[in-house]
Amino acid sequence: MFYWPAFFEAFPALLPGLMVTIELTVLVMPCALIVALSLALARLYAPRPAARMATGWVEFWRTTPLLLQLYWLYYVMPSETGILLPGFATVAFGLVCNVSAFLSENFRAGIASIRPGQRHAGLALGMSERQAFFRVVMPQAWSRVMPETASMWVELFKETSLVSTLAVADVTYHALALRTENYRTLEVLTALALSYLVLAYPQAKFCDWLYRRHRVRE
Amino acid sequence: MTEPNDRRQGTHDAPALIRIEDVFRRYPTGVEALRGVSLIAHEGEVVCIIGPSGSGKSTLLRCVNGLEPIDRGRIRIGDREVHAKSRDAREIRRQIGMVFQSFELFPHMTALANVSEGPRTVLRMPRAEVETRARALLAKVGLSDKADVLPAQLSGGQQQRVAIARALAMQPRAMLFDEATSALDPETVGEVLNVMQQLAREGMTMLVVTHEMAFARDVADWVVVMENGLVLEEGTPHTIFGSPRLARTREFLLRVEHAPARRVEP
Repeated sequence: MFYWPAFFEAFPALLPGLMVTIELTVLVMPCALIVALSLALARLYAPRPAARMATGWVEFWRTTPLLLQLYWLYYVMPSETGILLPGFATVAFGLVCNVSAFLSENFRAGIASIRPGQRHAGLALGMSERQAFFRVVMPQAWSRVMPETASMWVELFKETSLVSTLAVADVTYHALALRTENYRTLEVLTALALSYLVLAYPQAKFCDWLYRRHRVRE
Repeated sequence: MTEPNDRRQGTHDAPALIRIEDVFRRYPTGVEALRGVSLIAHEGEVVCIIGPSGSGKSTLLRCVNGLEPIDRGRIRIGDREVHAKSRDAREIRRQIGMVFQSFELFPHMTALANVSEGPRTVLRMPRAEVETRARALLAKVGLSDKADVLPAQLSGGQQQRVAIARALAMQPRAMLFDEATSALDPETVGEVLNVMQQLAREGMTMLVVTHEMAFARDVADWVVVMENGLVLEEGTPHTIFGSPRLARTREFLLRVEHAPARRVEP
């Protein structure tokens, strides 16, 4: 039996958690973009040892489970290294590392797919390497990686639910807590699902719109 | 026979602008693209470089504006020496326009933005001034009506004319053309060659790598034949096309003549 009052009463209880989830996404994504771009540039243009290190770093975060990474940062890092960060900062750091690893692989491929002649055309005009990259190569690469980046954004928004297992009070954490109070698992989890859906849908649409706007016709 | 002072009246006594001296270039793969090439383009002169594919023509052009380093020898533009890696290379590239076989227009910018990009980003000229200059250049290449169009919506010939305008926007001292018409549909080759011919008439110094023998014969002041990374023979178009000194040159010209002809508009 679906008990509607429990369903509707769940939303106010979820609200504070929802804010944490949004904060986490909004904070992590821009940081991850910058880190990902740096990693991609290091892998493409840095001297070999630095490029290798960047590749190793990316592969590490790409090939281990996010949940394990978060657990490691939360439980192992403080005891082994003495670095004790607040829970929110710890999971934000873990998410930045994880998401940027995937994004950087995407960026690297996107940048490499722009034919070298484009860079040469920029240089031939007298541009510096930096200008040729940011004026010529990057805008084109960005258009190509936009769809993938957009879906990563939505993915991240949903994956933040993992942090609820680490006492970070996001929306999932609040839902699971509420469930143990009123035993209305069906209603509470449905409310939770609806919360994610309602928030993720416009994000996905916004990303689609960005993609259409940035598309380059070749 | 073909002494340098055979050069066409009016240009042979101008000062040398591009001076290439004994240049070697070996690719990391081991291929020796240039094996001691020397060549001079005087101010206001059109020098056409012809020769079979893989003879090092394009590599030579790319070395001239420092897009590729050289292993030995010297390239000078006016009194400045070209070094691919140095900061100077940028200064030299500003002064030399380059037109590529595959156009290389920036696909994310309109025709106008493409032409404006150099003056705007490199010379940091005021916006209004840049736009005036860019529009004038689009008019010069006959594309005033295409200012707001993206490259993808232009034909090959139109794209290449925008690319020429883009290079001219830097007000270069010389222009390099790297097989500028090789990637074009036959019917659009003529419009690009016409623009090049007009530039030549205006006195632009031009180094032109081309397979268009008619262009070399009619427009060049000096023709250089390259093969296997060496200059085989050079001279006035009259000499090269009329009575080439070497059998190898004659063979090459015969091969080109008998290749499926791509006629240029008369």
